[in-house]
Amino acid sequence: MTDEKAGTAPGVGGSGYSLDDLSAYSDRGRRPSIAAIDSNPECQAVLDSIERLGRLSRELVDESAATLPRPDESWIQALLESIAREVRAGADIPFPSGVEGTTVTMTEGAIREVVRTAGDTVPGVLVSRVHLEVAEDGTARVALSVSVAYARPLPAVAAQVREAVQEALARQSPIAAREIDVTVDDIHLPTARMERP
Amino acid sequence: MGALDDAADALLAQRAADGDEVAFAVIVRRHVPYLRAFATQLMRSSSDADDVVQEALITAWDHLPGLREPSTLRSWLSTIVARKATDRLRSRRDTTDIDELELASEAGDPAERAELSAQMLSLSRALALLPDELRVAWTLREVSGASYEDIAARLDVPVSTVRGRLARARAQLLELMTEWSTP
Repeated sequence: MTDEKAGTAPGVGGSGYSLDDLSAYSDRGRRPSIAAIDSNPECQAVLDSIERLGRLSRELVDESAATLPRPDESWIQALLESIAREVRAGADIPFPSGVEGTTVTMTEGAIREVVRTAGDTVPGVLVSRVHLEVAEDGTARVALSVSVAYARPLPAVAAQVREAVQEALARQSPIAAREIDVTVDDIHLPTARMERP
Repeated sequence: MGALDDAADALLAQRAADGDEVAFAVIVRRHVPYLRAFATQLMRSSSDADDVVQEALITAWDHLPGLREPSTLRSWLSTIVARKATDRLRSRRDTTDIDELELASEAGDPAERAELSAQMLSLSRALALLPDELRVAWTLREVSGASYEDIAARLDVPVSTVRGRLARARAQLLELMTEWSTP
């Protein structure tokens, strides 16, 4: 769009620019600036209306979100039941077998859950990501990132997490953790609810 | 499991990516109101909007492990909702009979709720009168902040068509709202 348009058609307020042009100009953040539009009061009024309408549309969605009736619990439950759990299972890891001819396995997904649950038991800790690398010999490297409640002593918390994970894996999984790396990647504000026992 | 209710989106997204269904349930409860409001604006029918949001969330669960920026969870979810909504509108165009559609749009119209300001009411009513193709292009632009190229790709039309639809949507909305505000 260039200034040579001016004069070929009256356009909005005689600017030579149509509503189409103004609409696209607004979407470009009024850049690069076009003097014939910027100096024309009618064009300015149209641009302001277009932009006001945009703001109003975002407010309308926010307002509807706040005031529409909440979906019933049954709708949410039905949704949760239809998600595909198997997509997260990962490989089957066998337990070291005592008995000839039998194999008991646990999925990587279930092992990650053991790690997550163990980490969460440490006060002020929420586990975020759990990464597992299981070696041929059944030992594993575990890396987990955690968020820790504000003002908790980080080294002590990390040590507690490591200990809780080590212990839970030994008790509830086929793997022995040879290395447990704990990364604190976020600090959160403790809430009354979280600090309650 | 109250502790997760206050957890940040990024943490919940990562846990859900690892297979934590409880974290996913918190995500669903937290974001469903916004996603439904957004889908309702796209679909003009609350039952269609619910279906779209449900499909989108099932897809989101499958694709969460690939989410690069877990803190942008809501906009990522909105993008999936927009995709499902436009797919459904495309198939609805050929199959639904008009009377049924108009009834549905009245039933799902947030305009009847008293909480909305006069201006929002008037925008909501004006939106209900726009053809699907204009309303969707405009909503993707204004609510999702999608670029012309994104909208063109989503709707499978040239960028010039997107530009035309946005201008027509704005012209019609402004005209209707001006008409209603002047007695």
